[in-house]
Amino acid sequence: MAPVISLTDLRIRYGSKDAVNGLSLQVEAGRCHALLGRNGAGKTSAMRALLGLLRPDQGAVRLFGLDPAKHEAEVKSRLAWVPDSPSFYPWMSVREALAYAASTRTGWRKDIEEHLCSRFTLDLDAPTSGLSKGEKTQLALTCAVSADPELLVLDEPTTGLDPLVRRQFLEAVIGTFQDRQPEKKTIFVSTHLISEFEGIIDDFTVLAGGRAVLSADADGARQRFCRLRGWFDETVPPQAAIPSVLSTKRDGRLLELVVDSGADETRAWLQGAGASRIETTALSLEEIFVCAA
Amino acid sequence: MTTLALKTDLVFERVPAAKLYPGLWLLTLLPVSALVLLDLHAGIFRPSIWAIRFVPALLALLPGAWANLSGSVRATRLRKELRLIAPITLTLLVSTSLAFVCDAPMPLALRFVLLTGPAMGVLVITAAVAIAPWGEEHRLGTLAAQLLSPLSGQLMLEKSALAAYFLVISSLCSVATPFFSPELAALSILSHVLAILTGPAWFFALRSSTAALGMFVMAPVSALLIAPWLLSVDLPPALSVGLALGYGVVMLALTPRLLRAGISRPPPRAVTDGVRLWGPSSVAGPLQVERKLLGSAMAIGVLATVLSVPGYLLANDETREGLFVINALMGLLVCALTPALTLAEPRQLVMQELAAHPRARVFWRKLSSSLGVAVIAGLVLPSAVMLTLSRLTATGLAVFIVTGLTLWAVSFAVSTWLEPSGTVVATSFGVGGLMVGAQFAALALGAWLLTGGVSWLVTQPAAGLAALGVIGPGCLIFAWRSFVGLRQSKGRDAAVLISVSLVHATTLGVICAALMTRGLMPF
Repeated sequence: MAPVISLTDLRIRYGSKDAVNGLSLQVEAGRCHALLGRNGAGKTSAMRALLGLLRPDQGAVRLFGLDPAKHEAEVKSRLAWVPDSPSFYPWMSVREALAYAASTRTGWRKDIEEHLCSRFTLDLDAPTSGLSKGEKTQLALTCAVSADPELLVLDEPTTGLDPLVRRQFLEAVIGTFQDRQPEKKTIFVSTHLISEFEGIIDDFTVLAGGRAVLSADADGARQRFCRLRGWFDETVPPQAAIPSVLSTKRDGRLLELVVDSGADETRAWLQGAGASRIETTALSLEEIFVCAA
Repeated sequence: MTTLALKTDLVFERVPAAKLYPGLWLLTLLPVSALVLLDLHAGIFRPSIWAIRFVPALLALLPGAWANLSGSVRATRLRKELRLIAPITLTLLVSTSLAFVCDAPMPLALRFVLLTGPAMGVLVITAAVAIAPWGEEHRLGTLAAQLLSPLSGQLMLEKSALAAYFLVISSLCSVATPFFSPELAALSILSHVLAILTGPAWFFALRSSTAALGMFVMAPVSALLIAPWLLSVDLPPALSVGLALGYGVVMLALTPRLLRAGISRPPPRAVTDGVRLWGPSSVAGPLQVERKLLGSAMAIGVLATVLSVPGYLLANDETREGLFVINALMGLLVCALTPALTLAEPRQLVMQELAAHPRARVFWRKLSSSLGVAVIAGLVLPSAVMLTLSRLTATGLAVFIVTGLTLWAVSFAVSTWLEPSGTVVATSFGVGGLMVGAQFAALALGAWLLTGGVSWLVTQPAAGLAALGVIGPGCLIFAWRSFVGLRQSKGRDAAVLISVSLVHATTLGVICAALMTRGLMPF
């Protein structure tokens, strides 16, 4: 079965600057893939190329195994997108905005719309121009999920929302979206709030300078990146000459090492250096992102 | 007037559709009904003529009626499209139908509208109607969602079809207007055809509603200016129409490519920072942004001048008269627009600039930059062209310059007063359309109502100019108090806005009436 998203050697240039430089990634059906990176890393450009809003200078984009340029209607009918700053027609009420969104989609699910509206307690008669940022995001998410897409593309969906709304987002939207046929429901999300998505992300790609510097599944990454803490009775040894060590921190008689794929070797080195106690903990995705980016 | 239109556009965005449609219908039907009553009163009412005159209005109302009565998904989309382009469409229909119905009660206004219509109404508003559906979607930030819909092709088609529908109605009006000469009717039809065929292509190629509007007018305008001349020298009209159609077909063929190129172009830097900059909506931030936006005003003035050269060399007397009017109106338009371009901006950028510099310095910088552009592009260049066309006397030149400066001063006063009050002002096609439409209406009404004051102005031109000279300094004092002294009150917004705009409209009306009466204008 073809991957839901396939980007091959994607390159996007703005003038003389490479926004995306040779990005390749694949997302399988039913997975939640996060695109992580600092500001200006190329996330939004890659996402816009994926959606056909930006033509790449080089490389190929395939969605559901199809070329979006040739099978535009089919591809678009299977995906929905929520931008970081959703916009609505200011004269419409929430009800009218939903009705209009339904008129532009095929396969609109009224039951999902009603469910999410009640979960979010959206006032259907309120004008969209009077909605707060959080309410606009809720409305945009309702529009996207009610279209019953197979692929949900989220660009910084929770930025600017308060913690309560973010929690609602995760519980209501992701839960509702993956409620039916979760093996077919794919999420492609770009976010800075990595900790919020920690339990949802299956795979992730870290972008830096337009390049993918790390692409891995979340569980594998947690096994690969870890923190080793060694307590010494005597003097803490000097810098470990181990290539897999990414960072070193000393605090009294405690030596803390963050390693990439070299936990056993580092543990052996700590033991050899005289550590009286060694503790190994997996890094969170946010910590992995900081190491990679 | 510019800022009145800006404000009106903001109001338009907030009126619920349920209240807007009956209002628009009343706006369209009431003046027509009043004119019918006038005809009845004068005993010159002819049902057949008025039946024909009502046809365009009924055709214009038809989509709205269906959209409101039907419960289908298409009706839902149509309601949105109608609402989206309501201001500019209304302007188009009113500006077209005004010349159609107002001959008996307002002969002076009719003459003005007839002669400015081809220049501004037909060309600019027609172009704006063709581009408005795209420009408004982009301004609101909803275009990307349209493009990502599985029905995007259908949505685009519906969008263009609706604009084309209104342009066709307007075109029918032009042809049926008894006062349009065959040349003017041909000009009108040509511009409509070009607008229908090329509007979206220009928009997506340039990704700026203002630039697209300018390019739309600039590219075919040579052909449009030459067309009447070609017609007058007995060249087959079919050739002119064929040339225009050829241009349109080529542009239409380019549309898909331009569309993709347009949406592929990276957004301006400010967009990535979370500030939407669409069209000339920001100037107060970095200087280069201000230069760029004021450049668009400068471009309008230079455009009018450049276009006049081939017209002057090639054209006959009729076209030269048209060039005179174009230059006069473009000049006044530049004078009215530059302050808004300088001051209407995202609030964040204003705050940044005001936080970094004394308010007085910011005020003088904005004043000098907008005045410089207004003088060069709005007064000096058009005046040179008008003098070259031998249509302007010394008194007329003085009146033109004072008018332009007054217009600039009023616009500057209102713009400075609006901005510190926190009003977020944005430009759009609706704004542009309303601005031009309001300008027409104000001029026509002012000319009609104030004909009695003309004799005084004609006999006392010096006193008239002196009186006008009072308005400019008064406006600057008002602007200083508003911007630097922060002595504005939100509660007085509407009253001040309306009163200043009324003064503006009245002033222009008096001047135009005076110019017409003294034969200083070419009509």
